[in-house]
Amino acid sequence: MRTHQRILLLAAVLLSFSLLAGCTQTTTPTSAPSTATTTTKPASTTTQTTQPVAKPELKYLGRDATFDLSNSPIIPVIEAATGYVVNYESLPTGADGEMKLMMLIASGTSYDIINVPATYFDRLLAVNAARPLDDMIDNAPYLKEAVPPESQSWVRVTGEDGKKYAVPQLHPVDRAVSTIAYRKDLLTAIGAEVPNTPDEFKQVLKQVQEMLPDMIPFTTNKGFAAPPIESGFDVYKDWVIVSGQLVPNQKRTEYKAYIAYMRALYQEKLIDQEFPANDNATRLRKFTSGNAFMTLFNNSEGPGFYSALASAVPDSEVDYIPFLKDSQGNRGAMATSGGLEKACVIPKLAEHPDDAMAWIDAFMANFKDIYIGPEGIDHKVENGKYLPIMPAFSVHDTVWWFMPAVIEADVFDWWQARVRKSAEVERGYMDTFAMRTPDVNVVTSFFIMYPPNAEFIKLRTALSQYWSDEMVKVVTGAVPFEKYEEIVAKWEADGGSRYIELANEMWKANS
Amino acid sequence: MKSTKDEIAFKMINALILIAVSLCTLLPFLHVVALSFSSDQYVISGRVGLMPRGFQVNAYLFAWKNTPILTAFRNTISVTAIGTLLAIVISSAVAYPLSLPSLWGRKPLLYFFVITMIFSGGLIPAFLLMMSLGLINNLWSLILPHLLNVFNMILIKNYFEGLPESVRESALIDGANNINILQKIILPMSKPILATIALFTAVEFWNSYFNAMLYLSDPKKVTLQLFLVNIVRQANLTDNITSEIIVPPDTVRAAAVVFGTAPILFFYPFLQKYFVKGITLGSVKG
Repeated sequence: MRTHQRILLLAAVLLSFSLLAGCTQTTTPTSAPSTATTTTKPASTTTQTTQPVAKPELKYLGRDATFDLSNSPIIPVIEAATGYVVNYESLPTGADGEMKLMMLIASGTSYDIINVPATYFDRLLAVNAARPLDDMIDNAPYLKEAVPPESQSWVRVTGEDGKKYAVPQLHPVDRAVSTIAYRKDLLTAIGAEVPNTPDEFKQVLKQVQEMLPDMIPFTTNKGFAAPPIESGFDVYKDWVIVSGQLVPNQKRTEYKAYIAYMRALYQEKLIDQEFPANDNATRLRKFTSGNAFMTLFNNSEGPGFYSALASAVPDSEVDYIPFLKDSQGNRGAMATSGGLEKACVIPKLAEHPDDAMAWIDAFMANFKDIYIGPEGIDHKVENGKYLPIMPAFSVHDTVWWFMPAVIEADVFDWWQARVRKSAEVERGYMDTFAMRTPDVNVVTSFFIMYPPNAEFIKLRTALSQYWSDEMVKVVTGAVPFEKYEEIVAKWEADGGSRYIELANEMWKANS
Repeated sequence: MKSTKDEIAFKMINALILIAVSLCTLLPFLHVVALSFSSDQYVISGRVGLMPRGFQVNAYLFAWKNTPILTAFRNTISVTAIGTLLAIVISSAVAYPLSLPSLWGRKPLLYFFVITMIFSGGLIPAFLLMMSLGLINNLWSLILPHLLNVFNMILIKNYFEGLPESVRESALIDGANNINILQKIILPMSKPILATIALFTAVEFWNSYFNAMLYLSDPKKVTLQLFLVNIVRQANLTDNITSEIIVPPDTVRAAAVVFGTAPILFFYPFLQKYFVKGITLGSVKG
């Protein structure tokens, strides 16, 4: 090779290495400008002098993030409020996230803060990776103010030894529910009334089937559980108290009657015959294209839902089926929100545990400004409603990923500013909230705020998968309805009995 | 020569089958491209076929501004370019001595390499190794483990063995050493196999997901496949109770998929012939 060719090749190799070195360089993010954004009380561990005390950089691991985490506009706001520079890392989505978290913990990788879904917290607690925080919480006044000591949230993160192993972040949506959306224009056209009982509901579906033969009367997806129908059979709770004992739905005759009803709907083709294969997008597509009369509707499915239907069927009108009355005339619903959204752990291997708690406390000291920004600049209040001021409010779009906890007394109101960013997002939530009329008993899952119990969680995961698969088979006729009791017996034999026993032990221990 | 009826029939059936298979692979991709340029209302109600409806480029603008796609692109291009170059250098350097019959211990060395194709240390030892080397959150963790693909090395070795020995002997007589022979004679004569292996390796680096998922948590190090898997999976999570994950709409996910696929699609037609030739290049000895 000639000399100049060698020089060119060498230059190309050096340039490639320098490019890669540039990509792999772990540059320290520049600190946020130290402009004060609030006049709230400073965090207890920050000094009052004008010269900021040098604080260590913290390492933070959070859940999956598909937004641009390294350039999120909320990061400088958080840094200015807390005084800490934080290196943020995220886990992958889904099961890979849990696997990677366990791998990182097992390999001894050190993080100061791990802020992950509550189910991941249970795994961290089970492998003894979480640090007890009781003493540190006592020195975090803003955190204690935000999450009062008497809050049920603390119970959820308490270990078997009675110590607190995480900072709980309460789900900021107050008792959200799913419902059934239907075509009000078509209901009027066929001369039917809004149903209030399971029999009336079935009657409406039959009328639709007769008068609108090309329409799917009711579409749902594999879960098939629709809260309004569950209300009609009083099976919306996962556990009920009967004669001083907790009893799950699997052991209740009401649930058998509910499954028989769903089976009849399927046999008479009143429910989408493809429902076991439907995912959320498929279900919504069938309704918004004008091919289905009713669909299961979750409160977060507003974006695009109404405009898609209006575009496909210009004269359409959407309304919602009320929660049906059971044989006693009662209505109820299981909330889809509630419990903890995340749990913020300071691991045992954290290099700066005290600074991690100081960061959390400083975050909570400035929570409102970080969450929805200053009033009059990023948000406004009209008639008691919190509304965003766009585009300034968009700085706060991704704050959910970063927050270690919420101010429990106020977050339900403040959160609504976030859904009011878009008319369709707001409508999805507010319309479903409106279905929670005073006579509807909205409950959360019975054990949602109980301290984690590894055996209970393991049994629940395995048994719920088995049960939901078998119920789909019974509803679709793949397994005869006569086999229902055999399925219950197998559920009990495979751990269901122990599951019920554990549930009652936990309930009595925490009552 | 005039084709017989049988030959014509065979060609027609062959063509029909190949067209059907091609459509099976092409149509879903065209549908995704159409989704990426369509308005949400048409996408949600399933009214987009092979042509966009309600043409808009907002999904691409959103993906460009609000997702780490540019960072992912840059990282993936760096890893692919540098990894491919180094892989070719190292594979050639390993293949050449193994192609010389005079190498002492050649057969045991070959067995040693082949064994690594069948057995590996496993996931956890690999992770611990990367940790001990300080390569967690480092793009080199995607490159180093794949620098020597034994299968590719064997293909190159077989190709080297097929080159005329006389050329090497005459170079030796002229006073060239092995490095000179490799550099000035063997490599220039081996462009077809090197181009093929470069292509295989580049595609492997470009599509790499698992190592990126395992070794990279720093958002500045995100790679294209890692980003795409996350964005597509997030919409299908059944336990997604987080109040505020605004799941990127189908249009944005489609735009992200098109972003990720377009570069390979652009280069593939120019390099396709090397794929076809390359599979057999290292197998037949002259």
